[in-house]
Amino acid sequence: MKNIRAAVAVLSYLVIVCLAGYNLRGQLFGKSMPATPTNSTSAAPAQAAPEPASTPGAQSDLKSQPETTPQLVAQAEPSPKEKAGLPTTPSPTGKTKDTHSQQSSVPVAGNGAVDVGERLPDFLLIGLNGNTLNESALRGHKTLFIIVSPTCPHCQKELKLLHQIENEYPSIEPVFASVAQRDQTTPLADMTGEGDHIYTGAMDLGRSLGVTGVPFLMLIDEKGVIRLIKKGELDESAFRDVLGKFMHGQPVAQLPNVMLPEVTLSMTTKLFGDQA
Amino acid sequence: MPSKLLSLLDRVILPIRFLFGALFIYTSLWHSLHGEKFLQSIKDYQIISGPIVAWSGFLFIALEAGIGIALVFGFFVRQAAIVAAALLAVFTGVIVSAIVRGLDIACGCGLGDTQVGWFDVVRDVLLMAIALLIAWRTGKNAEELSTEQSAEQLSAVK
Repeated sequence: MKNIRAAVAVLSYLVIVCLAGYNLRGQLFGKSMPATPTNSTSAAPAQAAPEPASTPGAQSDLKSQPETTPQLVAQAEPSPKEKAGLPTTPSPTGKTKDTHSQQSSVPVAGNGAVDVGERLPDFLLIGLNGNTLNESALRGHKTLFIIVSPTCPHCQKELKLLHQIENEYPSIEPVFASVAQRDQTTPLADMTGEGDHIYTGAMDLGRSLGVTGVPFLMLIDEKGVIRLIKKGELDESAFRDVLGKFMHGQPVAQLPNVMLPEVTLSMTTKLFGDQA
Repeated sequence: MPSKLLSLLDRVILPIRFLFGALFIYTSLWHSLHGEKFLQSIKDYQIISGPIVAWSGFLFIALEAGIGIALVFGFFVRQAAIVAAALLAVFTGVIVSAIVRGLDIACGCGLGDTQVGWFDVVRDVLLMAIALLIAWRTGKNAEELSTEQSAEQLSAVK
């Protein structure tokens, strides 16, 4: 009888552990797991999932430094894989045709750096409207992805501007990823009217990309490949130029440098671009 | 402690142990089925980050399930109760830390999606006390005390 009970106990334990392992397989084994569905908005993040960015200290500790050149990190160029001739054409439905193997051949940003031609590491952001967003959900459409802080005046200005003009670029999905917590980010939504596009939990993503200042803008194509990286604020004409070309699939021209105070991201929660 | 009280305690310790074990099994199942939510809760505490989150979450579920099953099935009861108390002590510390830091986050306990608060601390301390009670009254040879034997003992006491 004792043996039977022991067997049942072991079996029960194995069932629960296997269930946990199965449900967490994406996070546990990262990139080696099958890709999540293209349009999923709640699929599990793989590899090093970033922690939410909460920042009790995000509203302070601005470390503004003397003016430096901002920060056009890179700009629209085909990825190395595209140069190598890998298929890049979206399907007639607008969805990418990439298989997992092709997608995984695109270099993944992270470890403190990001470059054009790479894709974002897996992440999980929580929207102010309750939706979740991960890396695979970016595929299938063009995305304007900006890492912001609610206390950064440049971010506030940029989001207000985008709120006015984003309807002119319907095929580009805006994503504003806040490094602050929900309660700290909500005022940004009230201020800009962008509540449906604002997500929280971007602190770790920012760190993994080596982000040293906000706003940190990226244009990401239908396959999740980063086409443009721009640190600092853009004015309206530059935005219109960039978004127009990106929407129509044209190469995005080199942007003029904009002089902005450089802002620094400290080891923990201090955030660049924030007001003291 | 009066012997009558101890006798009463010994009568109720078995159902308490079952309920306590069942609670752990339930929360381990809940965490298994809501893996993403659970990991997000761990991350929300801002104590660990990166790949370690997933593995610590998995380890936590495995521990929870192990404790629950051990308590319900009557194997290694004393050890399981001590590990449960230690685990609950860690949770209590983490929750207090979140409250002190002013984090407005979900508890992630698997017992309702409430925000962390002092209620969670009180609940965990109570559960910790129950775990220690189980460990104390079960005795050193708890692993040999099967559920059946416990029931037989209970009948004999009655």
